[in-house]
Amino acid sequence: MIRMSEKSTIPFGPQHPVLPEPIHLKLIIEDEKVVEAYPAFGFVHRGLEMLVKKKDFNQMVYVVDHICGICSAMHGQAYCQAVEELIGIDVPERAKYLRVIWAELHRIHSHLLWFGLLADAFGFENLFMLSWRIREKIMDILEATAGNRVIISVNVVGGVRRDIDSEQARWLLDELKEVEKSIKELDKIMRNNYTIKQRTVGIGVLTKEEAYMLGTVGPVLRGSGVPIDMRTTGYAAYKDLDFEPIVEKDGDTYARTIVRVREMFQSIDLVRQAISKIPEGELNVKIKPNLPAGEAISRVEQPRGEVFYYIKSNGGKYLDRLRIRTPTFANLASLLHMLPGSTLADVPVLVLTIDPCISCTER
Amino acid sequence: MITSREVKLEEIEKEAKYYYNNGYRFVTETCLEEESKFRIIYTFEKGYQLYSFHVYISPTEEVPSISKIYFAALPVENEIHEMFGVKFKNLVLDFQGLLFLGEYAPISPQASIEIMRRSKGDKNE
Amino acid sequence: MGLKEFIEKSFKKSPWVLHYNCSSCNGCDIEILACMTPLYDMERFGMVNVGNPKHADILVVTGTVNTKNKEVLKNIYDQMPDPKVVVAVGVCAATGGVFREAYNVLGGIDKVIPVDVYVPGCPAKPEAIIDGLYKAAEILKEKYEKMGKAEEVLK
Ligand code: SF4
Repeated sequence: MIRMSEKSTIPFGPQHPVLPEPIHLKLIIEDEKVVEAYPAFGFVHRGLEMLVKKKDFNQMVYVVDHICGICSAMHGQAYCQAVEELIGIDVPERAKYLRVIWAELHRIHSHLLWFGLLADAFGFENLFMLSWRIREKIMDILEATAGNRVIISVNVVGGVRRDIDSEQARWLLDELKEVEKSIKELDKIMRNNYTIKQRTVGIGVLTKEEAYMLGTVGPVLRGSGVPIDMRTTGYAAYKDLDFEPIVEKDGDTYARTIVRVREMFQSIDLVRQAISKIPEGELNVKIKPNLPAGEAISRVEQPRGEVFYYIKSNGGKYLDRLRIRTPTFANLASLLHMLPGSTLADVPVLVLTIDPCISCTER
Repeated sequence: MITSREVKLEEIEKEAKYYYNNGYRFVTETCLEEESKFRIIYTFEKGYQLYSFHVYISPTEEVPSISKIYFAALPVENEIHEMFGVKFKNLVLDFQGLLFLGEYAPISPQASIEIMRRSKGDKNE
Repeated sequence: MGLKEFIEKSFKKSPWVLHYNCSSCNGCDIEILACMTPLYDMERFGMVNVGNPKHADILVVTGTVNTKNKEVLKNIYDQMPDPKVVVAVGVCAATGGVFREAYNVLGGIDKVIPVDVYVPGCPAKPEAIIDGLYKAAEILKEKYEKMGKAEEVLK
């Protein structure tokens, strides 16, 4: 009998149980091995970049907050920083610290969410429930300090909208202590569990050079040993806080998991530092209703990596162009690079390893 | 504020190779519409510093793709093709304007100059 | 208890839920997932999250309809067996919300499929979602009874 090479096409998505978001991959499979992968997007594409023509620059803050529900505060922050640079105003110090606090809380909840989804992807439902239970504490903090659980919309051009008073800050620190304890437990499970190691060690390896030249960002990049973290450029109040980018050498899914778990501890530490150093003062400054003409760029480190905002204005109330390069969009190339050669069973883990956020990617 | 220098259309590949060989990371390409011309800004990064150059093209010109040099440019160039209708030569993987938009979506929705027609047929490859 | 009664009872008491994300911003989706986790625990109402439209009784949709996913949504809806109930979670699913004016957005999901329960909020709170799902379960019960009557008339 002649053995033919059997190629079959397997569609992955758009509606599937692993990810809550629709992503479609067309996988060409040969003997259980993926030889080619073609992504197809567009199930979430809304065309938000064009809304700048219909909403003025203040209303746009609310729109960019809704690009993605997981890191919404950071989108607002990045956008506001870009507009502030364009106008040339300086935000009050207190507002900068508050932005850091909310951003870091978002990072913790995003990483916990991702950790749960990863556990779910390889069938460890118990761990999924556990990490989502820890996450609820962060959601409580967000609700108490900002008024909403998921999309908090605290940023405005020129500062922030809400304040955290000292009593609330004390309560917040108490809650964080418990969160830290639970995350330590998660950390222990992750480092000792057989199942997790089996499913993540050596899966989706990116070498240092590959990760660097493929333009990957965030934990994927740092998991491959490249210490690039936008927060070290010192936007908002990060210049006064003490931290180092977290780096792991191995470049596989396990290394990325460790990076993310260690980043949660780092974020907790940053929130503590920010609360201990926060100065008194105004929350926001008044801005003029019209923009000057010009361009500006702002880069912010989100849980998934660096987001890049480009804005251009010709004067007037409305921006002329808004361009957002989201972290998952930058990481797509690395996903397409990792998929060929993997086995079919690893595809969900590989898709999750870059922590895809489809609604960011498609905007 | 960004500083970017203008290059000619033919020089794009040469410039991109230069950046690649000197260890710059690709950040993104941004397409703008300026007085019935398109301006594409190429942005690279090294050590947290951004470096950019840009080209002006008329709507009928084809832009040489840099996706052979920087694989990461692939989704970006496909997106620009889709949203503005700018054509790229030698894309590694051409989605033919169906990366984000469905078959019933408006054509090149982010540009006011219409230069592309969608040919019906193959869906996503 | 005969087989018919058994099926009837379990149908009313344990509807299966299918979640589909149209073009939402993720905010509502993570709240729906949060409903399944220990703190809110949707399963105490017998609701189980499933991934297959053919097993599902309640379709939970988040986000607006865009030009690409309207076919997918319709497809999923058609595959579900009767009786079925649709819950629209979030203002996006109800009217288009923030994204209403964007070029690729058609509006609320009721442009494509009939909706029984609207859950407002941006994002809808887990409490509201659970309330909406509970209402959906009651509507499902009604629909089931109506269907039974129709069958008897036809007999
Ligand atoms: S209703 Fe709000 S939170 Fe929900 S999907 Fe729409 S924009 Fe996101």
